[in-house]
Amino acid sequence: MEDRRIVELFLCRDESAIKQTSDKYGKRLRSLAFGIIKDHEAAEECENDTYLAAWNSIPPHEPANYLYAYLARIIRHIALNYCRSRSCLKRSAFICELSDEMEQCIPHPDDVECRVDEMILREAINGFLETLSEEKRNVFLRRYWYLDSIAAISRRFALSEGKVKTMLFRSRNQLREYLEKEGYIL
Amino acid sequence: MRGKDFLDKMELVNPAYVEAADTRVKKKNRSPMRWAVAAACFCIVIAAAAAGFQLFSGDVSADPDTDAATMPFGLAYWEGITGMKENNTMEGNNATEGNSSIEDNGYTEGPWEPWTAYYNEATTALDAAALYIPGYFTEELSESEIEAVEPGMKIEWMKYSGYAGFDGEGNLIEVCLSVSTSMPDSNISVVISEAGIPRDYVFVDEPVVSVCEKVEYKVYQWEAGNGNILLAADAKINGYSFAFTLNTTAELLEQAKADFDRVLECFAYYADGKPDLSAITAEAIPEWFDRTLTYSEALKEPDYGQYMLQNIPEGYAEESIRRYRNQNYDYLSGLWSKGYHDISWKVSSFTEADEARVTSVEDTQSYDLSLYPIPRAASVPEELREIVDNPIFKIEELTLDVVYARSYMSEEAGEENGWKIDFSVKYGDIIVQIRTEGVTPEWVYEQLIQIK
Repeated sequence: MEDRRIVELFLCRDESAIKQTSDKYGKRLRSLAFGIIKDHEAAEECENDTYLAAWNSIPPHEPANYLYAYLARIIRHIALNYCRSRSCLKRSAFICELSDEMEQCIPHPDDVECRVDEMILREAINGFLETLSEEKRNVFLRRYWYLDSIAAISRRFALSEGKVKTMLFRSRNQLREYLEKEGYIL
Repeated sequence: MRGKDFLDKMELVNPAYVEAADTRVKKKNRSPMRWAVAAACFCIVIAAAAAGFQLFSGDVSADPDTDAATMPFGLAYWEGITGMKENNTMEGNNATEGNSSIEDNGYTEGPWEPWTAYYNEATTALDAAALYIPGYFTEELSESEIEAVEPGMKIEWMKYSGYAGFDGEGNLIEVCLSVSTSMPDSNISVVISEAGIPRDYVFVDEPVVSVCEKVEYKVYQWEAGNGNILLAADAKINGYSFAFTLNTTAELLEQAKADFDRVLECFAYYADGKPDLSAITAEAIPEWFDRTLTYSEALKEPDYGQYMLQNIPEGYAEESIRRYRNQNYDYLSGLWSKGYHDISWKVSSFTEADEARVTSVEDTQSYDLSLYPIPRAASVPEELREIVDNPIFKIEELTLDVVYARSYMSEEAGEENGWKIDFSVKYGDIIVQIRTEGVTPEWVYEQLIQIK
């Protein structure tokens, strides 16, 4: 079913919206959650929570092409929180590893809450991503959006693991420099 | 901020980038030919250098700076403004400050200082998701209500219409104005709200703010594709959030921008105390409810119960039965499921909006799925898409062959095979919309012809 029709079902509070969404994007969403949590049951739980969250808000309908991205954003958030709040030690360790890498991107990390509002932070992040080549951007997002392992990224893009690590290291440095140069104080 | 927070905030990435990063990548070709080609190129370079050719010459000229767009601000513009010509003391671009005059109709004539709108380039524009508001309804604005929210300046081609949006208790949520332009069938939408108006844009560069009479506008331009361009602007005026939008095409872009700029200028001239949103109240709050029913209650429901699904097939469990009504929708629905198969049955009243989907069984192009291979987004002609998506048959014309024409076998990997069937039937003024998986066309046909 086209995204436009699915959004219409959400708008008229037709519960078959959930089923249609699940039919169209369920596998991708579960796969995304599984990539973060590495637990099939938990991934399904996150998927169901995603549909509930989507039901309680109105998915963007202009352009409807981004319905998947809207859902993916929700499930990523849920899956990350799941990893942190449950005792999945291995995954927690992996998330910590990624968090440490992300901290290298922040010019002066501290414990103060984010000083800029989301709109400005969105501009900062996307402004930086625009400066990267498509390959570097995709590698960066597979690591820090989709939370893929180095090995998984290496297989996906047919790059050596060493090259992936180098690419990510340089991108993190570039992001820090970009934020410093543009004057973003996070 | 710490790395863990920044990792969370990565959710703010442009959705287009998120999608692109999830696209399957072609494996790189590691054929030995690659190396042979590289070696050959290397030889050519060495040979050229040895022959003493000059490969590069001349200066690389710098790209010219791209200045912000400027709108010429001459006398000709003012001829379009009601009553302006006589009072205008401007010469060329040198406006004389303070020469405003307030006509009896309350409109300020101006602006007196040239205003430049800079169109920031947005790489994507996405309506941010908004919270679902239970009982949301709209009412058309009356003339006096429009007057209460009109800006302080007007151009003769600007005509206003619009509606107000309320929550289920009659509290005003937003005002949506439609402002005509100098181009036919082209209107600027203006949303006014006390709360923020969710809109997300991703910019190539740091967005430049354009200031008109102390109002700070963020003005954008976004190429939506297929020659369509969206012009948009956001501002905070007298404590209210404003969002302006105009959809146009590449051919009309210049005129569209000129009109858009003029409208933004007019809205910069709100008098103190305006817009007066307190002047807008709901005349009546439409009835709205969302009730869960039992199956037996649904069958007895006075408006639609007799059109409800009469027999539930074996193995299908009830998921939900609801009676829903708001300003725009009024239906009785049921949802049953068996594993990954569902039956959705929805009963509502036939409206004018449904007329376009009513089809005769002789017109097979409107409904016969065998004519349109998957993916149907590509095979179904644009003009037929709405009707092929969900055709409506009159019950007196419905046959088993028609139901088969709306059925196809699910053959997706990982799914149990089963018929998927999707269409609507008209019983006088009532529409029954069905969407089923896992039941046969014969079963569907039997259920529909049983209803009287």
